[in-house]
Amino acid sequence: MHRSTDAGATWTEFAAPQYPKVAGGEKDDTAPSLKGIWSLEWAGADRPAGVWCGTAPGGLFYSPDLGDTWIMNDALWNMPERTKWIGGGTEHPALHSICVDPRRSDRVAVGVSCGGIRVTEDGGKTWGVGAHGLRADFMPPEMQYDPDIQDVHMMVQSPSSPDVYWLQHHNGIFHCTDNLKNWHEITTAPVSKFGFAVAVHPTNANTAWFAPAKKDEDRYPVDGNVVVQRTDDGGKTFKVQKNGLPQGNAFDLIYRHGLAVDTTGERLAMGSTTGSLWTTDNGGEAWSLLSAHLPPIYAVRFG
Amino acid sequence: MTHALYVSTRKGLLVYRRNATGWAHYATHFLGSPVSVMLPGTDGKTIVVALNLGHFGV
Repeated sequence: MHRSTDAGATWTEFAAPQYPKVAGGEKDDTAPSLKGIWSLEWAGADRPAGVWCGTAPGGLFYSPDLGDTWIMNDALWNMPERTKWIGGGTEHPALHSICVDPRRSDRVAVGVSCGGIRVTEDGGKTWGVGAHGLRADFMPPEMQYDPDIQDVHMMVQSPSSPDVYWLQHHNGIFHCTDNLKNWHEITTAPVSKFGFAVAVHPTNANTAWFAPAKKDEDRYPVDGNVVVQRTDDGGKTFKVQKNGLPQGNAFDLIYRHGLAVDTTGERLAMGSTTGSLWTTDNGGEAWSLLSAHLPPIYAVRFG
Repeated sequence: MTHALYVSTRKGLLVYRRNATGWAHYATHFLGSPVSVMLPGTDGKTIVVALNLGHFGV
């Protein structure tokens, strides 16, 4: 891992988080080890050097000092329910979504594919369930509402109304308005309920954007048309935004971190697996192609 | 305030900044390396990145 504190003029390398050794030692094949870094988030305004890091196979780490030291969150890792987590299209579970509550940095929610949502109110000492209401229709009937096996693709929290969360699930789109007590399935998306990325408006919790793909086994845009689905009324209705996006024979898939909105709510960026990068200055009414020739894009962010 | 747009790719971290006509490429870091995730700060100066240097395939 690397960090810069001078806008990229210089970089400092530091060690990635490491899983602790277990009883069997380094040669024990059952010992957990880092399989990938899936998410990084600032830990809150009152912790200016604090960083949360989500990983595969599901461990959550905290650094109080911009990565010089990493502390594994044992409380989350040692939950008995964690043994139910499985990889979602990958070999290992991945902790990819970290929502630090803007009201109080001790409150953190994490999303796992496949492991549902866990939320802490005490900075990570204890973790409760945050996935009630999510539904996995690909599971046997008796397991479809099990909160610990839900395949969360991406979860975001409204900065302006922090009781509100939006979620793109393997199984569809979900909305929460009660601070992670219950989720409600949204079935009104006109193009597709499947996808990975979601972004929420910074000052209007009813507005969110989703980047749809066809479905689980067909991970490409519906009919080859790249579109964004935007709701402005909490999921009751959606607009299909396609102005400036390729229509026909497009194979761009938007990964879970491939869609971002800035603090104005008007500027967005979207990057695809086939190296296309689009931006908009009017909330998605019109998109502009910034480049069609980039490598596969994993993530976009404004800073 | 938005200072820049950061783009993590399989071949590096690209940075774009605004000019009079829109976003323009400003810098590329870690050229050729897979940048899994990045975390820009709100100060316009701090950036944390994770590279995934597992192999040298495509």
